[in-house]
Amino acid sequence: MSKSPIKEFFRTCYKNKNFLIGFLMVASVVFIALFANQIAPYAYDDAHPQDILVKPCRQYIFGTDNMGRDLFSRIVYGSRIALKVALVGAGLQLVVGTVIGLICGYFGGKIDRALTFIADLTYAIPGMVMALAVVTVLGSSLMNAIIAIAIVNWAAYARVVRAKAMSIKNQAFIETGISFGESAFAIMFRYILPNIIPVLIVTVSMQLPGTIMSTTTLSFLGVGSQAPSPDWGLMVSESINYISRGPWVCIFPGLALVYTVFGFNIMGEGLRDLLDPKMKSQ
Amino acid sequence: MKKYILKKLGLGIVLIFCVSFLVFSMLYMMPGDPVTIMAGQLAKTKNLEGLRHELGLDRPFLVQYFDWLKNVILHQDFGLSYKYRIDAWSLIKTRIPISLKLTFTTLIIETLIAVPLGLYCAYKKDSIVERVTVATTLVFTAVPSFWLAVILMLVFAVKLHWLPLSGYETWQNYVLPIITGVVGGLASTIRLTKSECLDVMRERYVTTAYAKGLSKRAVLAKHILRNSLIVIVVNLFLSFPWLISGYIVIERIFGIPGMGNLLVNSIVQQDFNVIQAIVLLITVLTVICNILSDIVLGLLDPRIRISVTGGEQ
Repeated sequence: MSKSPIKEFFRTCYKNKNFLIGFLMVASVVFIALFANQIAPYAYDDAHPQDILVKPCRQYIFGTDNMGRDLFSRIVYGSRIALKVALVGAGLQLVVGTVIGLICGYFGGKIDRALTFIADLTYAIPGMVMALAVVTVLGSSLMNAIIAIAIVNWAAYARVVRAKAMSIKNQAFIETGISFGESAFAIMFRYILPNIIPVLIVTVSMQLPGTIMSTTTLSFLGVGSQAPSPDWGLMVSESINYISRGPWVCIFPGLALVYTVFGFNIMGEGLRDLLDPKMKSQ
Repeated sequence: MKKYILKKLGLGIVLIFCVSFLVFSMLYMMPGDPVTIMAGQLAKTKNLEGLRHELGLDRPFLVQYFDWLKNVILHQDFGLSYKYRIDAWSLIKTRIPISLKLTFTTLIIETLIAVPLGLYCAYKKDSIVERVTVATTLVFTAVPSFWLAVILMLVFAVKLHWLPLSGYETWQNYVLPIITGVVGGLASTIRLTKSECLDVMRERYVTTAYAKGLSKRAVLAKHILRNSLIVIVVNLFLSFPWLISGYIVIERIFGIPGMGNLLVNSIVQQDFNVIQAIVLLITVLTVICNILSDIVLGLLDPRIRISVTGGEQ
């Protein structure tokens, strides 16, 4: 019986119920987003003026909104926006935070102090307030909301990477690299970075749910996605005006959001236990 | 201790100045022109120049910044609200107590629920209560407060008619917003209390206390809770500004005329002076809370004090 490390890894993943359930939930969202065209019976902006605020029924399984658009189709297409937020948002935060964290951790000194001060500055302003200020400057759109949240969140990555880089910097293999004449760039990205990847994966998975939630909140406030986008936050915000006539319009997009965020949440918890046993939750 | 406090205060003041500079330069990073927005689309170019001069917007950037800062510090003058045509401070002044009242009430209720529950969960680990609490908090961290607010509104105001839909005149209007706020912060406070208590329980002095023959209750109250309180108290200070920013959304949904609601309205209407004033106020509040929490932490825990000042008194 051969025990390949990959098989072993999958076995541990299987044993970790959090990761397994979270992964399946996230995978289902990804599946829906990929095959939205096949799953959704209507287009997300397909208005049926004769079917306004229809209760959930056989033709419209989640009902219709105030313009007669099929809610189910809109939620299905909305999953694409949620995943875009997760991918682009986390990607931006990851790149900016990692680069700055590596520079701080590797060089230290004045650069480190200056950049750490900027990071402290972003911690001094509550996230939602800063995001709103950034969106004011950039203008209201989904992409700008994603950028705003990235400006709020990058410091969390930088902090983790900086600490990790500082502890790795003094190890023997780095000195070997330097004595071989490797450039600072190569040391940072080819020597230190690969050793930080597990920590980075954990950080991404811990930050993802919050990123989706804050960006959706910006859309809810009207400074993110604009109508007729099927953004779940925007849908809930539009539904408030006719909440007594069509409560289903606010219930279902919210449920979809909770499902997605919850999936990312417990997948993150599972990943943390898998990759970083020291940080194991109590 | 003095040096420690001075160091923290100094850093706080530098932070506030940096933020004030950032907030002021926001106006200049904007794609639109404030004068055009104030005067409306139909104004003539010639009149615009007059208005620009009158508002002092044609002076160099740094001159304007220091002038603004001077007015803010000496006269609480944040400039005119372009939208309401009254000065921004008097607009905000009436809204601060509303937001503070909400935040304080939420913080108190949250603590009264979360600390005992967290302590119990740490004490009776793996009991049914602990499992249910952990599962519930896990689910609730995935619920965005705006949706929770809308659902509460749907159930208690629209369907059951127990509470009013929106408004701010009676105490009933504040029930749903406060529930939303409390639920939003509950999960993290319970988790923090629990993990902190668990950490303390592993300390040797707890074992010693048991060995001395103290009752479980005495150990729990006098040794475990007292030591974990440091972190819990600090967390309270730190969560205060976050709650204020969390209330931005909640105030908006329930139509409560607090700072958050004004901030969102001002952003939609591009009312810069008001935005600047509110962002600055909330930041100053945050920095003050951070300094206070650092000082409390330093007072209670000498190890932290020494690590900052290098052992000097």
